[in-house]
Amino acid sequence: MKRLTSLVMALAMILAFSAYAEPTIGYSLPIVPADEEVTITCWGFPLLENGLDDLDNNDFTIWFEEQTGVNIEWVMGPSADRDTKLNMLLTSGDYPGVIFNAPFDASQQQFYGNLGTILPLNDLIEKYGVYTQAMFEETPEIRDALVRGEGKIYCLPQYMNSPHDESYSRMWVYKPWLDALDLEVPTTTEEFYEMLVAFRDGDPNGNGVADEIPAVGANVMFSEPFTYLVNSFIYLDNNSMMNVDDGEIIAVYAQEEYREALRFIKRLYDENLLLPQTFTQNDQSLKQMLSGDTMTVGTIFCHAPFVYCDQEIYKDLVAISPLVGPEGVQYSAQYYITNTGGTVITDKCENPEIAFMMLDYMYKPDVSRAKSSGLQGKYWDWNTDPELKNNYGLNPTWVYTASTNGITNYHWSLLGHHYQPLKLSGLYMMDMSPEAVAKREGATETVIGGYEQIQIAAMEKYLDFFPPAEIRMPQVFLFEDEDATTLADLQYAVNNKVWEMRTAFVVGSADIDEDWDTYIEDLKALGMDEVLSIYQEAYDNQYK
Amino acid sequence: MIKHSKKDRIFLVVNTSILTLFLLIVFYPMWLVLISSFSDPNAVTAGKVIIFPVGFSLEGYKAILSYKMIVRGFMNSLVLMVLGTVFCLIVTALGGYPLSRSDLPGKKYIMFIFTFTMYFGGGMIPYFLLIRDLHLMNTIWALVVPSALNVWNIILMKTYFQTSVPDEIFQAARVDGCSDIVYLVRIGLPLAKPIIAVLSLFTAVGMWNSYFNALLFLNDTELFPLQLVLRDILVVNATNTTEFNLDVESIKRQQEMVALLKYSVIVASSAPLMILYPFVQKYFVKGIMVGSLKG
Repeated sequence: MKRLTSLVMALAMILAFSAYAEPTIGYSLPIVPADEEVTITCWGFPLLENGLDDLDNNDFTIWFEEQTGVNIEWVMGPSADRDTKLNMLLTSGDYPGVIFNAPFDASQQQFYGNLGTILPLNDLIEKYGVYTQAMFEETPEIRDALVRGEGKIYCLPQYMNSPHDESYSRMWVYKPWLDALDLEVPTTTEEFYEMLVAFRDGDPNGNGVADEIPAVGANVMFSEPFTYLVNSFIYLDNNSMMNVDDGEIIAVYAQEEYREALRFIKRLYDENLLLPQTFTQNDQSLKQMLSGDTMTVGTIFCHAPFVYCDQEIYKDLVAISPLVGPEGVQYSAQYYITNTGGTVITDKCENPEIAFMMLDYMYKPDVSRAKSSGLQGKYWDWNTDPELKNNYGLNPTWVYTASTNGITNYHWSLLGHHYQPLKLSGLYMMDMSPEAVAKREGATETVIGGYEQIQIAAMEKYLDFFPPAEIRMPQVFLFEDEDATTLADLQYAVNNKVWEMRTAFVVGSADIDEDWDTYIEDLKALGMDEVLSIYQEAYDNQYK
Repeated sequence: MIKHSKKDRIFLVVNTSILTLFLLIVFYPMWLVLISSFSDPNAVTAGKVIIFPVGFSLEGYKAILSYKMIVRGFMNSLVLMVLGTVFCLIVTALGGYPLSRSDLPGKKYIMFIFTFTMYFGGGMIPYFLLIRDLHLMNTIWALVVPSALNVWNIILMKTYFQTSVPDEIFQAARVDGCSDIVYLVRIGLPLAKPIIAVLSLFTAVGMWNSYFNALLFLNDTELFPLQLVLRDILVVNATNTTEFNLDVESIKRQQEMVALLKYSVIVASSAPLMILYPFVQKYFVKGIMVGSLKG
């Protein structure tokens, strides 16, 4: 009898201790025990260009469902018009519990949050968000971009930090032509002008025909010449086109410095240094220009040459740091790497806690990596060799172990959210797949890949020229509902006018001396002052 | 050989040349898509493909087979087209035939109710809610059932029966003890071949091209018809560089494959209708004149 009692007491103690071993914050895996069945409906879409067309039989989905114990039921929309479908679902009241990559900006999040359609995540983050909290601690800017009215957070964003992602506005020059004409890489706008004249007249490709195109771009994001060149006169971001000047919001496109910048670009255009097609062609046409037998282009405006041409050509392209303008202004447009949108949980979710735990798990480093690159151990793994050095001269944190060429449905690519700080980005990666290793051993010189080229260019040529924080527009503005709707209409009209007129001034269909005042008046008539005052009010409320 | 006068000949020459010019203008883009689908993808992006395929390759068509979504989309569209057309024909015949009989009780009121619906629609949201409440969501029936009954088609069929099928045949059949249904199936429909051909062509084209209904009501990629997949391929953004950790060359190859797919998928998705058309063409020309001339 005594033995039985002591046995029972021992058992009770063991049980009591194992209860204490349960985490008081967070959760343990699997989130849903094996005997229970929880289904969460999730909004998803295929991404054919990344080989993602079947989310049910996807390697990552299967692994993820196994790890968490959750059963995901996909509600799919086609990639191209998914926002239309999502809006229809939201209006009809029949939407999934988790919306990945929700297309809501800050104001819309507030709007839907106030309606109760999407749930605030603050309590869930506090109780269960182990990895979310770790992420906020390591990179506080992420949290700052997410906070809405009353401190509420509504979404879980993607975060990818690599030097290249902050500085998309770049210009590249074809080095062999500089060598042929014995020129240096230009540092000021005047030197740039002279270089273009030399390209035009000096026949650098040596074929006896004046077929050289000194500079070209395209009417596509990141390939237009304005963002890069205007930054030598006044800071211009590619988004709101407004700056903060001593606490006051100003419109860059109405300033005298901007006018000077347009005069400079007009000079290039008038002297046949900037190809007219820059303002009309799309990326396919730009690609065609770079695919002939002889190189005919000297300078290209684009963020990544490898998108437009092959290695034989882009290996000879050199990035040019932002040019110093006549007043000494030298900026590089800085893009936000924090996101204001992301995954949301809706009120149609029957198990918001379980859904949140599942979403929080996606922020764990190896899960984030697996979501973006495939299963750990199959396509990549952590690096264990401290002697390894990649093409950036860094010891990689993770390596590729096998090629994914031609493989489909092995990851979620850009669907969903992930956390990729610098240490987990492409900067600290090395390709150790058998094909890459063989290529390196057989190579006589180190060949820099296209992606490496833009990272190195970003680090060496552009990162140092970001503007001081005081003149940069903040990322998050919280507007009242009526203001947000008015703003959407007015800003659209004003911005369209700005884009239309900047081309018109450069090509000469509007005179930059005589028609400037009419231009300013037109902008005012379209609501520029109201736009500025709405922004000013929100700025004063939030940041002063 | 008919001898034409001088004036006639000049007219013929001018007429033929203008029409040939129009033909070339309209035909050339289609020709370009066709030859691009058979060309080497690099030549296509370099703009070298003008009159004939450059670097003949079947890469584009092979690529189609490697994307499950495209093959499945193709099958789904075929099924949708056949099912939708058959369903539509049944429903339209069952609606058009009784309305063509003069002795149908309440014919005027039924006709009025049908034509009334042609002027009003509930809008997109009520339509969506209706389909959802009928439990048709995420099934192929959501695409087939709502668009099956079109009042224009009913009027077309009714008019055809009234004008081209004489009442005497019905009287004769009735004397022999033929019921309405048997009459419709055995005599009416075979005589109505032209109108059936016209209707099936119109409906088949409509079903094959259906995009918006599929966008709204289908939640499973397995059920997506070809048009949904086609649009994704055609509007793919080729300048995404954020996710690039891989060897850039393989990414480029993947993007090239999608660019290559554009042309072969366009050809593959137009092919079934182009094949169908010659078979119904003769009926088409005859049937479109329905109701214009009596006798």
